[in-house]
Amino acid sequence: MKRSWSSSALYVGFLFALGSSLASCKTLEPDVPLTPRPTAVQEKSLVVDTVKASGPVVQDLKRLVDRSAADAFAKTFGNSGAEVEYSGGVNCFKNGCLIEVTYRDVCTEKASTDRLRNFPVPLRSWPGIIYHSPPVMLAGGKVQVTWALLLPDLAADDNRGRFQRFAEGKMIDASIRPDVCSSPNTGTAQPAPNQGVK
Amino acid sequence: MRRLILCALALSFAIAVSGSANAAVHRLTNIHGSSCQSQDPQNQPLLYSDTGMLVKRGSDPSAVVSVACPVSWSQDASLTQSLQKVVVTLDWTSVPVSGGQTFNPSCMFYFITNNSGEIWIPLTQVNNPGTATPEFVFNSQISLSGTPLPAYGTVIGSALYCNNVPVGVGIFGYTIDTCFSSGVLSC
Repeated sequence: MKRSWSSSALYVGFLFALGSSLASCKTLEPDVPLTPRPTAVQEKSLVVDTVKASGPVVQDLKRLVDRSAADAFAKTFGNSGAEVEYSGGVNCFKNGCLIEVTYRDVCTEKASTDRLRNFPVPLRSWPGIIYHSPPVMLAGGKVQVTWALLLPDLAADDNRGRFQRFAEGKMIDASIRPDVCSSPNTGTAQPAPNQGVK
Repeated sequence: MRRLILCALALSFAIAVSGSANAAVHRLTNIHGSSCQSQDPQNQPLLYSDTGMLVKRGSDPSAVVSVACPVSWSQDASLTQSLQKVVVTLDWTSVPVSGGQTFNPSCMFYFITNNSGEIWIPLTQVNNPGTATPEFVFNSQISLSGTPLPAYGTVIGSALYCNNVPVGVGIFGYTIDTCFSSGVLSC
């Protein structure tokens, strides 16, 4: 049987199209070169550097942002002390506030972070995304973490309203810091009967 | 005949190009409310049914419980494109509408990266407020201005946490809508 030129071309075209379609069905990912997963340092820089580069907070809200971020953080985790140190204070930029925290040990860091996960603490109402950087081990068993309390675009009325409602709302002090870590450098948290109760 | 050949080649080329276009990828996952778990396993305060889960009524009508609802996340480590958007919706049932109580279950959506970085997305919107079936929305795009989220493939776990859920209230279900891409594409 002799096949005409046109039907042969259609046949080849169909096979090519079918092959291309099947190849694109193999995966859902966009067709871009793969890059390795970011390291802990790269992941932290992605957030922290962008916040720092965003510039100052809108002038008329600066004091309110500084105060409410510091308040919410202290009323969630307590004031700076021997177990948890906020060496550089709270630094706010247009895209959010950064707080560098040094914990006494792994257990203290975990217990502190669990407060945000397990209790209705004031930070749970923060109107933007909260980021906790990968923990970095320091000499002597200490652990360093950067918290970023990100801010929505406060130039938008809706976001400004949401932020003002948060800042002007009553913030209950839930900052009890039970020493659930029985001794420095323990890796496991001991249960505290009054955890989460002021 | 030449026209037919050209048509066939043009058609195959168009299909091939459209198949490999660099597009944003959406993933929408629905999860039944019975996936939620209580953080008080000793007292088992949750009741499960085909309409989700319900916090049991006990002797104390003002009691609250903590609930964690796991969210499925694909483990595609090769997907290193940046997350452009995460929107989680949480559908409640049997929320009391009388009695003057404000319904504030203190919820946040949480995810953790392979480096142990943690991200918390706050409640950004309530649909059907004041009804027995409000819907909570946690939208990363509203609560973030220009700061990038980690790459899709770095997320190793995620959950919804509500730490102030009153007795008698239930969760029907929840959805997660993720969108990721390599460039500035609309999500």
